[in-house]
Amino acid sequence: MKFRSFGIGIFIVCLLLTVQVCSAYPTEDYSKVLILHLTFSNGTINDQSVEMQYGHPPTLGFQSGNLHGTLKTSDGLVLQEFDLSDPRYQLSDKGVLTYSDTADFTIVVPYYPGETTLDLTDKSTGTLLKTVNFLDAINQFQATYPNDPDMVTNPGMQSLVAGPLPVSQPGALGSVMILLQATMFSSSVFLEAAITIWILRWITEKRKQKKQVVLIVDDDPLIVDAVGIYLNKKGYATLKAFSGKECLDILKTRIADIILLDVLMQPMDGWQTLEQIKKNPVTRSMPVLMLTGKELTATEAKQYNLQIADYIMKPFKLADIYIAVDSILKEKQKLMETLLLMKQAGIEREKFCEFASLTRRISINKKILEILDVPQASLSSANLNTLDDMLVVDYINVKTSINEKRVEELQNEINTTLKSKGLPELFW
Amino acid sequence: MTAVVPPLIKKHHPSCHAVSSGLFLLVALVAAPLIMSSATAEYQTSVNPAFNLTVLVIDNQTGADIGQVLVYFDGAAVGLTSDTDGSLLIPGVRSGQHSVRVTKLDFDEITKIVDVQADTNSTITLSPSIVTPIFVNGPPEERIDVVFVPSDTEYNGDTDQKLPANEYTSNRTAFETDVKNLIANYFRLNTITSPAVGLPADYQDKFNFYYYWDDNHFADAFDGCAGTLPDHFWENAPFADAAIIVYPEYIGRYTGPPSEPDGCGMGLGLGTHSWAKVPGNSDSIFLHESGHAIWGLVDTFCGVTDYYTVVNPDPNIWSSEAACNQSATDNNWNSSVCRQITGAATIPGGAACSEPYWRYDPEPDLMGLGANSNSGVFGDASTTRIRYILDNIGVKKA
Repeated sequence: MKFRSFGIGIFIVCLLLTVQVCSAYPTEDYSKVLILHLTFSNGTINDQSVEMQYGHPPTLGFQSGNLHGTLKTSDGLVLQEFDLSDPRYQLSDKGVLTYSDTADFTIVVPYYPGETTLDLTDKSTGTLLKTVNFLDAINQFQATYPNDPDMVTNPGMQSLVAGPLPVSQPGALGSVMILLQATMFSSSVFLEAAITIWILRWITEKRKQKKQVVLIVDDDPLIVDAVGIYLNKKGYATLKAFSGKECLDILKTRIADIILLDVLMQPMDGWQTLEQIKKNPVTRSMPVLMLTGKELTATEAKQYNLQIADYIMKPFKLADIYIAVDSILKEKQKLMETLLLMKQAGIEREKFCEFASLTRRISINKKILEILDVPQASLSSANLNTLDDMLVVDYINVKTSINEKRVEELQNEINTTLKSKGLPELFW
Repeated sequence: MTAVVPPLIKKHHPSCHAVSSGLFLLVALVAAPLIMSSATAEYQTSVNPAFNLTVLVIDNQTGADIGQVLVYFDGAAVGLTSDTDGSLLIPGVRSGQHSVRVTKLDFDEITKIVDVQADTNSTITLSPSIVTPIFVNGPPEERIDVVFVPSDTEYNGDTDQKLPANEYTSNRTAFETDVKNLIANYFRLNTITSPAVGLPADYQDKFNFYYYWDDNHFADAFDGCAGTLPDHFWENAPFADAAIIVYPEYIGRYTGPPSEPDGCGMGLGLGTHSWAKVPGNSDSIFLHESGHAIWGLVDTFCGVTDYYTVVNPDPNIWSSEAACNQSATDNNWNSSVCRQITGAATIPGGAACSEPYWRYDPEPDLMGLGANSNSGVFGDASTTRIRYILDNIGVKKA
């Protein structure tokens, strides 16, 4: 009985600690306002300046007055209406009403995605006094904060937030702590303290290391989060996008060491996104690992096999993702190191690059053939629907064979040079 | 005969060897991306390389590192600074200009534009927030946000002179004390409103109170009737539903125009560009001015050049006797109490009036003659309006 009470006590302590940990983290805040500096002069309103900034708006909808404000989108959709006091009038507690022909005034309105204008009308006459256009202010804001969730092309989508950095991002660290504390429910407070110290040391150590950045692109937030948390734990920094467009937007300002790209997304699917990535000279060198629940067709294989670094079928184990990412990035690192070695040995860079490129191509093609359920160099068990598909497989097989021969030649040439200089042979 | 060109660098000289190795590494580092970008290479290093950006946040006043600062990169949150050294590493940053926005409770947020052309360290200095919370119960969207602002002027009604005042500007604590007294007095609202209507039991929780302190910019309570707020007030406190300019003291007595009044407001009801001025030592003037600025209540006495309007829903004056009677009936009040705003002059400089508006609340009405006495209260009509705001704040919101 005593043991049970002790257990309940520990549970409550841990629960409180969990709540404290969770509530201690600041929450992301993307609230924005538009601040309008206006002048009321001789019956007309002129805008002096319009600024957009982060902040919370005042409460609209309770004020009375002769002015009426209407926030609208560019196609005239009314987002909010409110009344405003006439800034030319001020009222004293002695019942003295003061009036001035000219009055400078400032009003603050909330920003909603899609909002472009504020109409100010005279309530008594219905006369439109002023339409204040927000576009310049919004564009300026967008230029400064291009990754703000409301500034992406699809306004209102809660996305495009750079992914959790295991060191210090609240979500990831919070998750780690929550999981950690969940395991502590059955343990002692002392164990909790020990593990916490270990975690803090681990965090400090990790901070010192440069992290490779993985951009995860999938329209399923659960997959993005799961893969993100998993890769964070494995020591990678992650960026997240929930559509092809968001992926491309992120790549305008950030560089990823590898991109995990889902195929089945709307409106821009993974293949279209891949094409855009590979078209851009800045992003085309980023390895892309395709991720999909849809089977790869032979046509897709032919069209895109030169552009992808790897291909993983859903459902997958998170470990598969890690193995693939790790393999690609290690291979990239190995390539960099070997390039320096080749240079030192006096081997032409073109020769080595051709060798590395073809080697990689052979590996991918073999994997694609496996995915297409066609054993290499055999069409007999092909799970293909049309003659065209079979021809594609045939084409990939032939290309692979040619490439293999060429790789063999190149490897021999390179190794001959290496041997002559007393350097170890190249194994790839 | 072929001329033999001597090598530019003697291979066996140790220092030359070091230079050679260094040059080789340099060339290799430069060449590697070029090699990788060749058309045949699948693994190409980016044309625009990625860098590490380390953001370090420090306290402007103490110079100490600040941890747990939320950092946004180009508008998206990327993490918190470390408790250990106040830094956050942002990897994979493309060269060019980027915005780094940092936010932390009790500090003014800052956005810095950082030019990244290599691995970069950027130090950002945070200053204590200009807006200090006094009594905060919830998010601004769900509360009535009142921001008190100190004035560096006051007034002598006997001599009709505006005077510089340093009671607050040189003594922040004195300002804080007066503001806290105003708030404490305000929280007897339940005792000075109609018990028949009543206020929500948690009405105090409907407020957030703050004060504004910018060493370089103060309000001027006597620049215009309602005074002027400090420069950049709305940028620093955009969420304010009502700003209250507090000045130290109204010296002497108000004697009518052209003497400046002791209280004045801009805006009828909470929301954008609503503010009022009050002396820090008068609870009743704050209650009266908040009647305008927060609750949208209208004066019920004969003023000098007063302003009357019907504020719906639940007004405290009506434009006809029938409308007043109807409200009384609807609310189970005594309809015989409705009466026209009329009578003798009640304030210096005023005159007898007969306005086309009707009122309900009895004297000493805080929106009437009770405005300048310590016995003023909000009657049934005013309390019903107050109740409407309290019941709807956070529901009917921006």
